[in-house]
Amino acid sequence: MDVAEREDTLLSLMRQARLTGQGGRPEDIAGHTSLSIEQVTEVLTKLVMNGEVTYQNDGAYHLSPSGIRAAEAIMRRHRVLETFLQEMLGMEHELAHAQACTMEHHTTDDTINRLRGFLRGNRDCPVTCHGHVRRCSFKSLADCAHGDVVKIDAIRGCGRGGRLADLGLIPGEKVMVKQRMADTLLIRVKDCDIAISPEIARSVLVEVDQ
Amino acid sequence: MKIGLIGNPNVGKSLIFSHLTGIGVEVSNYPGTTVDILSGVSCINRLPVEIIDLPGIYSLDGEGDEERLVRDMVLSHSFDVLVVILDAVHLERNLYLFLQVLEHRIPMIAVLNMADEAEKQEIQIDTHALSQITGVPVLLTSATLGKNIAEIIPVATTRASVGTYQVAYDRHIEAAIRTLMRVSDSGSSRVASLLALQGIGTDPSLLEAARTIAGELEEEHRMPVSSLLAGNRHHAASEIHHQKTGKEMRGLDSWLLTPFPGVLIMAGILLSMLLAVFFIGSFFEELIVEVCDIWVLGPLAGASLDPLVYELIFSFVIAIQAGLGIAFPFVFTFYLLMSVVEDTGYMSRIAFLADRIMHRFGLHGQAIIPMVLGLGCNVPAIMAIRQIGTKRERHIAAFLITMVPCSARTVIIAGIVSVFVGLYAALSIYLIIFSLILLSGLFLSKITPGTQLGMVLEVPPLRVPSPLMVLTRAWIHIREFLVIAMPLLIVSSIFLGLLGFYGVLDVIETATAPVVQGILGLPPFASTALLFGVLRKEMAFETLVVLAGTANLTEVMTRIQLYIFALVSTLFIPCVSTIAVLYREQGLKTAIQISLYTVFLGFIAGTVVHWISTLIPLF
Repeated sequence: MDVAEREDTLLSLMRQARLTGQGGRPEDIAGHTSLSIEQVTEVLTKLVMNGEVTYQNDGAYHLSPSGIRAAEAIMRRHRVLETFLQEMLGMEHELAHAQACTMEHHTTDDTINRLRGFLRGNRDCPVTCHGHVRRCSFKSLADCAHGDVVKIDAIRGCGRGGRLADLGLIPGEKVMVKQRMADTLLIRVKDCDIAISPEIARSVLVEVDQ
Repeated sequence: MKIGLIGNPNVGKSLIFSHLTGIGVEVSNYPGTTVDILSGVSCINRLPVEIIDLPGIYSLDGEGDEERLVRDMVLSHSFDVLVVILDAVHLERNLYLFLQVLEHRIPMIAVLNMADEAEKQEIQIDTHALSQITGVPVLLTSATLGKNIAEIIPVATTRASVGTYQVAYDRHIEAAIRTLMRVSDSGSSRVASLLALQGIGTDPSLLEAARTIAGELEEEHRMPVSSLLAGNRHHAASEIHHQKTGKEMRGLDSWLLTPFPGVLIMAGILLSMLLAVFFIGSFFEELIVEVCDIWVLGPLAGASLDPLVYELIFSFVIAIQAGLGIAFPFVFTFYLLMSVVEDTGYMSRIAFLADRIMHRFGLHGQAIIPMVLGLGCNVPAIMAIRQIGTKRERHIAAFLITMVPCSARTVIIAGIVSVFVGLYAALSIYLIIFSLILLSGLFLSKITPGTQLGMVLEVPPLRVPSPLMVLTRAWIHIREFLVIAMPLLIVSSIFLGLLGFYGVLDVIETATAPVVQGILGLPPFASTALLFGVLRKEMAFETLVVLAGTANLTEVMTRIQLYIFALVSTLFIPCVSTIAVLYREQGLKTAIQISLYTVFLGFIAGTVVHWISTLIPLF
């Protein structure tokens, strides 16, 4: 049994359980993954044999406690990889997700732990700050609507970083979006108004101000 | 004694400068850049004081042309005293530059300008406290009201001091500075070490050491050193400032900066500017040309001179006549209006509004500024491209600006089409040109390689412009036109006069007749006129009148022929001054590409109109 096939099946069952509270049928799993129904059935049979999945009377497969632990470990690898690709390397979310989906199967736990340490040390995040929570709470200035007040978290890329810093756009600074014309933003920083293009706005990561 | 004025853009620096120096300002270009440095002389106690207005900058550490220039001048101790001009309304952001200047340890004073605006917004400023903290004399002024301006020079000459405040940087950076200050034998200064950490400086051993330390610092903080320094300085600035927010005072912007009615207002302002230039310009142009005809050309024709000498003098005079006839009525009027737009702060609002549409052409909002300037004269507009982003953006902008109808082309359209064909026909030519600019932009953004950087532009508060500033600014713009375009005008006019004198023009006329007559449907003498247009756009029109032998052009050409002539001569090939400046700014390859492209475009447009006119009667 291929590692990727096994892990994709486990993840798919996990997702099915979270979404519906039900188990998954081979055809559901085949729909989520790139596997055929025959392959899925074969993988499921093997998973039942090693106790990670149980087959129940409703015709669906369910994760056993050991299966849940395995699926959670894979999901954690996925999140760490995705966060790294997106936040540190500046990849688009979709691309980062797709890449993480293939990388997760072959990354050792040691690599993942090191990456996690790197991500955490980088931003002085509290220990509770989890990769997943971080991804959801960070967005770029380009995603902000008219009237939003946000705090700058980091500025990606270095091309215009200097210029932005000179104008007062530095991590920790509060920014108000004053006007949005299509994707061009007029922001207020340190009591001054600054017009910025969408591509620049996308490089400024912000935290939503609570 | 030399005094330098330094400050952020839009703080009223130039206005203070004109108050201090009055007339007799000298504009000079720093070698290798197009950055203008204004210098003037003021007298105090019968001793001359040279005052230099440095370009507005946000930081002394940046990599822009202006920033580098100002930094070089400050580092080479070109000034005895620096006057740092700060905007009292936006003090915190302005203190950032002030703190940087303090690090250079040059005798200085701080001038808090815009005191009247700060008062209106109920912002209270304690100049005494600021002076106490920084150790530098502080003056509160208002350039628009002229308040305290007379104090600046006396205070600068007698009380300027190097200041005592020092930004407390992150402990790692302070450690790095201490290490670097011991590196070179003579011991480098704190500011040299700071600059070296950002890779700026001339001492190789210091830079080498700084590079290693900067690498470690970046590794540790996961941030470029420059951002770390910026963060520390901003922090220090906000500590000095103690945030005091005043009243919001910008009701008008809620109209000007929205898609509706902001975009409509922008279109209205630009269109009415064009129309104003069109009408005021044609009125004064006629006046100047007529005076010149009666008082200079008439007597010249009367004086029986040797034909060659006559031809030379005639060409020279006609160049001056055309130059003045274009320069003052059209270009100057345009720049006068333009300076009003710039000084009110509306220009950056135009950039904001246009950002989206400019992205379609692979440009960004800031590129609209040179394009609008191009409506006056393409030469300074192309020089202004330097300030926008990447190579790709400059390449596209150069193409599009060359196509923007400048004042000289306005003369052709006004003189030929609106007089003989009609106002709507004249407007239709503008419509054709602007559509071609849009299409070319779309096309170029697809084929031009390279990356695109966006716009970061400060939008200053709206202000009532000062007449003195508007005049000075318009003069600086037109000066570029006179210095670059005029000499070329004179040389090319004499050259063409000689060609005509030795009969070379007739040969060219016969050679190009098939194209001009067959494809464009124009009379053969039109090719000479078009050729003159290569050298000076509006000459196409004047030559046509001379060759036709009558000012009433409808006697020798049909209305559709006049229309085609105007369209082709407006579109095809930029004038020789534009080509020269393109070559200088963008290189030979781009200059040739643009010339060929516009020739192609001009002939295609002319051919299409001619073809349509044979099918359906147009006028």
